[in-house]
Amino acid sequence: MKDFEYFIPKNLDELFEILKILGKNKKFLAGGTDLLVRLKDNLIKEDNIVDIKNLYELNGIKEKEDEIEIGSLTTFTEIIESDLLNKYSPLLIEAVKRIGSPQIRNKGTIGGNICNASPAGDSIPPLFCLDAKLFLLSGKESRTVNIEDFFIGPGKTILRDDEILAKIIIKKMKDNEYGFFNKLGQRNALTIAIASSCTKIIKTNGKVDDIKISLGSVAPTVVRAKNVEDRIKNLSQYKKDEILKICNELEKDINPITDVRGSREYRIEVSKYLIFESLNYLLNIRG
Amino acid sequence: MNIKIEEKEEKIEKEKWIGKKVIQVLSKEKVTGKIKYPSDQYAENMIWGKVLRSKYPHALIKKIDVSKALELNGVIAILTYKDIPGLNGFGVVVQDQPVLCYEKVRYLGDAVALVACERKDLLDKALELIEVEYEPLPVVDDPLKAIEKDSPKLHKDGNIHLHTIINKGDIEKGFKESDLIIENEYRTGRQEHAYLETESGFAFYDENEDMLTVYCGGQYPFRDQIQIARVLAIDPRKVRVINEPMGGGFGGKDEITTQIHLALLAYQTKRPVKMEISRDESIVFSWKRHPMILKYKTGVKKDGTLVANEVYIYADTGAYASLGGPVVNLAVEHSCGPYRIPNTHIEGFCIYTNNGVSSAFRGFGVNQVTFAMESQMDEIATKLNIDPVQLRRKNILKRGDETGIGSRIETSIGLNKILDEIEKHPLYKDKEKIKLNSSEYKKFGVGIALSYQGTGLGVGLPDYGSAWIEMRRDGGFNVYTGSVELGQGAKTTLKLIALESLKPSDEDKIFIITGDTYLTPDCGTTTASGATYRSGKAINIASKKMLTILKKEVNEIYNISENEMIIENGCFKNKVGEKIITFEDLGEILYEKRRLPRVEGHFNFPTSKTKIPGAFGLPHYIFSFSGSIALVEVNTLTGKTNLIKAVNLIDGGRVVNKIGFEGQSEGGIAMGMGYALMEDVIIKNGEFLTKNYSTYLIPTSMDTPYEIETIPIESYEELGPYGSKGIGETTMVPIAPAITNAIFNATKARIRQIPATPERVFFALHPYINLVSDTKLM
Amino acid sequence: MKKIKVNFILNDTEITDEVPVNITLLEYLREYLNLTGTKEGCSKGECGACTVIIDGNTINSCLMLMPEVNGKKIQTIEGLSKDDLTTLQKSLIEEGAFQCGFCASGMIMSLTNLLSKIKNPDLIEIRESISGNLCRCTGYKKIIDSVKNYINILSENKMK
Repeated sequence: MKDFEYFIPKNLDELFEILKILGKNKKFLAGGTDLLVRLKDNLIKEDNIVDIKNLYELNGIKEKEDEIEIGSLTTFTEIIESDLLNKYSPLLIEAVKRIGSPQIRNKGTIGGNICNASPAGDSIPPLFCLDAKLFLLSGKESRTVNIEDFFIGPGKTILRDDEILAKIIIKKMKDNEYGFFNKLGQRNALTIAIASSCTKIIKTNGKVDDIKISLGSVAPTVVRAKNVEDRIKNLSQYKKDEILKICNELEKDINPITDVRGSREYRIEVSKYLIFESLNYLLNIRG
Repeated sequence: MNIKIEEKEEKIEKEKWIGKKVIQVLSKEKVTGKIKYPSDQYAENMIWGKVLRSKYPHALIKKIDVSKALELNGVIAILTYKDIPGLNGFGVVVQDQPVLCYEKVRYLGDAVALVACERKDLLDKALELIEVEYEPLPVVDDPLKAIEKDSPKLHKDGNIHLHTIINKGDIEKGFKESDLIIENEYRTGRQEHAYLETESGFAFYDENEDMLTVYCGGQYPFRDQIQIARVLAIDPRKVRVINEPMGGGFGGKDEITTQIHLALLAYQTKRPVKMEISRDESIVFSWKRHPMILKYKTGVKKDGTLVANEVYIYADTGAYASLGGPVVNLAVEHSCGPYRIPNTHIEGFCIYTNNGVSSAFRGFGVNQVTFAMESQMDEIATKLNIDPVQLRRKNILKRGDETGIGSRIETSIGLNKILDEIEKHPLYKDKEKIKLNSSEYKKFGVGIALSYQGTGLGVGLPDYGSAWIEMRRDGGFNVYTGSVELGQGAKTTLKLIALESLKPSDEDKIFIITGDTYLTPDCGTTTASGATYRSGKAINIASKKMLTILKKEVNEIYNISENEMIIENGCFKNKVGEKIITFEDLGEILYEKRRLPRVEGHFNFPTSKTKIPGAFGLPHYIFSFSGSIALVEVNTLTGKTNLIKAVNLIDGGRVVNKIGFEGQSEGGIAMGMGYALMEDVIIKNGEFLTKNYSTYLIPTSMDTPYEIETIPIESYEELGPYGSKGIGETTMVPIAPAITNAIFNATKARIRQIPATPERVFFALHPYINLVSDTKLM
Repeated sequence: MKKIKVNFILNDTEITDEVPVNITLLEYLREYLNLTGTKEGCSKGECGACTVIIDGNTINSCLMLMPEVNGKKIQTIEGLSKDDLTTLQKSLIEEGAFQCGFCASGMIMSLTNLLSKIKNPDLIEIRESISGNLCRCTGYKKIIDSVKNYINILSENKMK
């Protein structure tokens, strides 16, 4: 592993002082489950590691009326064990449970998963469906961005060099909201998704009032299946044939690559079925 | 050699140890973390070594310049081909692989230079500073193209390392007599051993003793010894190789891995050397299972009788020979399955490419042909509308029958019993009921498969077992044998045989030492499911000698005739059961007299009396047999397949080590399942796309079913120790085609290429699954 | 080489040391302290052979930088049973759970951690607790059986 300078600021003020000096030439160390692998593969060009785990301001899961604020340093295990999130955000729990392994979940953080900006990051699709907002802090100011505007490409976000992701704000799921996370992997644990879909519907009297579908691993970033969503919203009844035809429209929303886990062609076709499977499950529930 | 059935059963009833559940040797050391593997060895004054591997899959080496690297502070030595004192080559069969390359590199794992540094963190820096000038050559990556006349050649004599042809009967006549001919092409993946411990090792040279010691996971310490000595140009007796304990072998540590590099550095620098092989490095350089392209044309009569089988096997052996020849020959031998087929034409090609190197791997060529043949059988059963068990029953070999290559099996065959058990097993019997649990998009299916495995190295190759036994003062015995404990349970199995043969008072009276050239006799290589057989027989033979000597000693002391003596529970007794003397007391007396006995037992693995011309090593003589039943669930929307339940029926003769037997079966299911569903080292243009555990996937605890049932089918093999044969390999073979046959049973989609990844299953089944008759989705 | 002072508790013993910033806890355990019970299988967090328990949670020590151990309470396989075997270890021996044994340390840390949190885990919970520990030899069955056996032993002891 290359040599580097190691910083561990005690609070946000200290952090921003350090960031003023380091500029671009820094990497944040949160859980490190991704950073350590890159360091070992010689993929890190930066010379400074800033360990943010002492920033108590980035901890905690808080209830704020109809929203929940999740500190970016919250580990996946903490998310899974949170009573609050289990009650109001089971969709996020479902997805986070499928990440890595128990050891990875004990250390990896939701902030890290988001800022790594991998289109395969499993916590991201549910955040899309939960209308997540990201609270970004710098020494000068703070700003809140919609999660859908945060990602530019694989590994690229709009986070500025002097900024840190402080918390994630999601909307609580209400009683008439239902979700389904569908991850397709080559095996059942410790696996990166070939393709994944996350669907959340708001249903009243058996009719879908609103639907959000997001997909992972099938485009340069996590994406929304807006073409499919719009068409579902226009349906008055939910028949299998109609839904299959609509799933076919997914091709307009995604743009997968071919890699060691799957071909582009497979990803396009199987994503349609992942969504179909999710809708099949959700629309059988009485609303 | 006919043991009467009643006598046999009486003997078995009296047995105290064979087949019993016992504590496995070294288990305490394993659960406390105290056991030291080669990668755990350390020494004061230790230095670190690393290999510089090729940058290209195929290239000429124009120049190697190590001058800059030598200037780096902390570099102790850098070796290239110039520094090799003896033969710059290694390989089990032919030594065509360079220890350090000098004119050409033929795959990305080829070793070009060796560095030794004071500190581990300097190694990568030192490697970076070594300058190698390459002239890239065109990459040969398709075995079918590699055998064409105009293909670039990897070796002087071309790209075909071996071409074996077998003809039996009249193949054309056979097809004319067939009512149904099934013709298909099958492909199998490049499986990686993926043992949890890589090929790391440790070596040191003792100048006072002029003795080089190498600790490295391996399967034949005496051959490692020769391969090392040949390169260093020293007397092999000056090389001590210790292969145990190791974190898994599976055939991947049969060929040399790190031993010679360790020896070179330790000998040259005169300091203890540690070489840690990272997982990435291991996947690229180390040996793989041969990916094969298999073309099968099988002819059968409408009542299910097999008449003809035409087989072409194209095995991608990669850059060097290693054990490629024997693998292809074993594949040829087993290509027709355990069935009677009167007319066959079989051709096996072992082909060089720049795709890594393939060598020994549990099953050794049988996995691939079994996948193909059992898929053919399944398709025949479907097309002729015959029950899969009945179809096999019609054709399975009986003792004395001719196999597909024209040799006869004269030893024990448990196939009928295996089929009996399959037939009456609820998983098979009630499969239609089980399938009713299928939902709209999640289909259950049940599949079966049979396999067999020739044990031992085959005819014409030296294959032997040896054991030394010495009595201790405390009435116990030290048993020495050269077989290696790979993790497969050899130590415990052999200890049980020693216990049964020597009959001491309890299990702590046998101390078993294995796998060390300094301490144990040469017992051949621990492969081919033969360790129990080789070492077990040798121990058996040595034990008889030991007890003969001890009886004589007792006779001299007590003047009781040897014929009047019975030995049981560590005690000499007379015919009415009265105690004469215990082993403990006898040991003390013999110690005083300086007469504690030491004996040797030697044994040659039984081989066939006839040879198959043009097929070196064939035929084998003693076979293990197996069958599997698989219950799968296929998600027809995505192609993802889960193995829900598995049954393994194993005929390895008598079960010696009950826990070891079950463990090998359960582990075999997991490994065979990985082979069937997810494991493949993907190489494109000689470049490795799968390089570590995140892209090379083996089954986790969430993938392997908990419901694995192991049913021993104990056909008594008279030639084997206590009637046993060997099971290490056959336990992983039939589950793979059982799974793909189950996928067909669930979905009507036939899988002809493994691994059957979700993508492959998806594209295979979508023509058959009509979600909506009018909607076109693709 | 940049160094840093760390202070932490390892197997109930306090350690203060000055270490390079760019080594992992796994390297430190094996090479600086010669505690070779914790193994390296892949060095990328994909196999669990390096699993240790930190502040009550299982962690891949190959993905933990030494500076991160400051103030932590770490337990390795060596610290599990100072003099005698734990009941779980006894059960694993009885069932013949391991073959080559290389995955054993990591597996045992994961199972020990599970049993400290859930007294009576069901089959799914047991399998999930070791889903990050790869084993190539056993197919996991006897390892799982050992846990079931352990639970039986405990309940038998309770009844006594």
